[in-house]
Amino acid sequence: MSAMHEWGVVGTADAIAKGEVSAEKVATLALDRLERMGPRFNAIMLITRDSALETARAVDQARARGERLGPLAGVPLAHKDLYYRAGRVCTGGSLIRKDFVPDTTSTALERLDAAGALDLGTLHLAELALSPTGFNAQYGHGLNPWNTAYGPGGSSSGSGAAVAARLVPAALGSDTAGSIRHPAGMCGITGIKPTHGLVPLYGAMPLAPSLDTLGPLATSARDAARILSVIGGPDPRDASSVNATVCDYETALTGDLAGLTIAVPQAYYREAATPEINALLDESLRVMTDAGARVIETAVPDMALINALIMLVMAVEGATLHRKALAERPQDIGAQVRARLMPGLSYPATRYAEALMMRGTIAREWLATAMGGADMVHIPTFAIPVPSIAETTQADFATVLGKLTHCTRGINYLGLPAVAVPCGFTGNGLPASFQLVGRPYGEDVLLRAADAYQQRTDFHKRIPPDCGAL
Amino acid sequence: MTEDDWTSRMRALNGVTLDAAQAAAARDVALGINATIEAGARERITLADAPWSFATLCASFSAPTTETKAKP
Repeated sequence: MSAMHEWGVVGTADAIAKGEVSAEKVATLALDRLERMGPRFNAIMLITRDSALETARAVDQARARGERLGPLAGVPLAHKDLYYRAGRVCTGGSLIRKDFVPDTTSTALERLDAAGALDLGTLHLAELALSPTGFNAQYGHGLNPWNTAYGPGGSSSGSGAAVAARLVPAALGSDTAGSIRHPAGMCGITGIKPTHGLVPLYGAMPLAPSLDTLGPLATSARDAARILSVIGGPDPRDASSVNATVCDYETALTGDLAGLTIAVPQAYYREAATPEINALLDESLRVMTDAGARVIETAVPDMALINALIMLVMAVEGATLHRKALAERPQDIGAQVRARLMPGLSYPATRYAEALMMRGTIAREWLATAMGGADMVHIPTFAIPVPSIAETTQADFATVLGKLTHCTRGINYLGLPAVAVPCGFTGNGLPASFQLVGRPYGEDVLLRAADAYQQRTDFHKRIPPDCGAL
Repeated sequence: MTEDDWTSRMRALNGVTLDAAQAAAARDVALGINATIEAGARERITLADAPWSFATLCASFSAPTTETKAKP
């Protein structure tokens, strides 16, 4: 049997439900790993040992009484430090929020609590959730467990590092332009960015509400499915979530891809990928073809326009939310973050309105062209090998950031779901990843495909060096 | 618009002070994006279309696409 830190979400929940291990023992191990190993990757903001152990004991007592346990009972989790929990500091990775104590708890955390999950604390993120690398000028850079000379990806940097290092089996992140998919891809784990509106945003620090999405990073698609099934669904406190349809996504995991078609747009996405990334992507398609999928080649619409639209919407909404701080406390916002927000203060209102009005039209164009009647689109998560921290902090950092977000950012403007899946390693020893992008509310199809791929590969099971037993 | 005009406008409308380098960088990015979207909108936005139709698009896909049980 594998070590406890390798059990994952479903394995841990099942073991606790069967009485094979106590929730308290599971929690103690995870807390010890977070405390001893988390600082090596600058993954931790706050550990809440006492409250986590108290919840774990309550799970054990409920089981002893014969009560029915929730689907995440006793599973130790920790989350990006932008989810509000009443009475707990939530920094958003920023000095301007370092003393912020919310008086409310986010819908996502409330739903995890109700499912029996343990909340072990808060995890590092890029400043104000605005960097694809894990860069944070205020709290230090996140570090990649595979090699600490490299960033873990961002902005959900601590979530990526903590799950990859098996400190916790899963963590929530947020994704406005790739912030779940970058760390999942760069750390060699699985992350799903749901359709905009599937997971309520209430109680999570916003960056750009028209684009913001919340979702899990986990080692496997099956574990991600368990968590997404819990946190998705309508919430009267977030009107954008009201019409969302949520499933028990685990029931979609059939283990094969029979009857499904995968679209592969060559232009823009594959053209930007390096030869070694393209080779890994091709191999992943071969595996999925063996699992029953049909592959077709498609094209793309005007990607320059889609990129301009996401950059405008993110900058305008982000600058609006942080304008007071930009005006009054610019010294407390890092230069990279200021540079990305500032343009948002200068666009005419008509451009912003046009960007929102065109969203449905552009999404239909992308679905018709890139998906072309298929069930999902297969593209790189990032088209280049994971860059080093030095490469992402030098003078022309914007060029590297542009390359990193090349394949992710447009998906948020389109509002579509996407899952990032590890598919091997490049020459620098860091993970590579592909994305599957679906139709609105097509998370069931994406998770089915990712799970079928993972049943035939073991990249998602690989653990970084020196992250074994304590 | 000169860089000085740009900086003055940002200060007047938003209360934000930029140095010359910040202003130049922000202006270059914003002008490029502005032009791209203006051209895209000119082709796509008409009075005949309902604005903000993303929710309508989503509604057309709201049913599960595989044999998946709805969450209880």
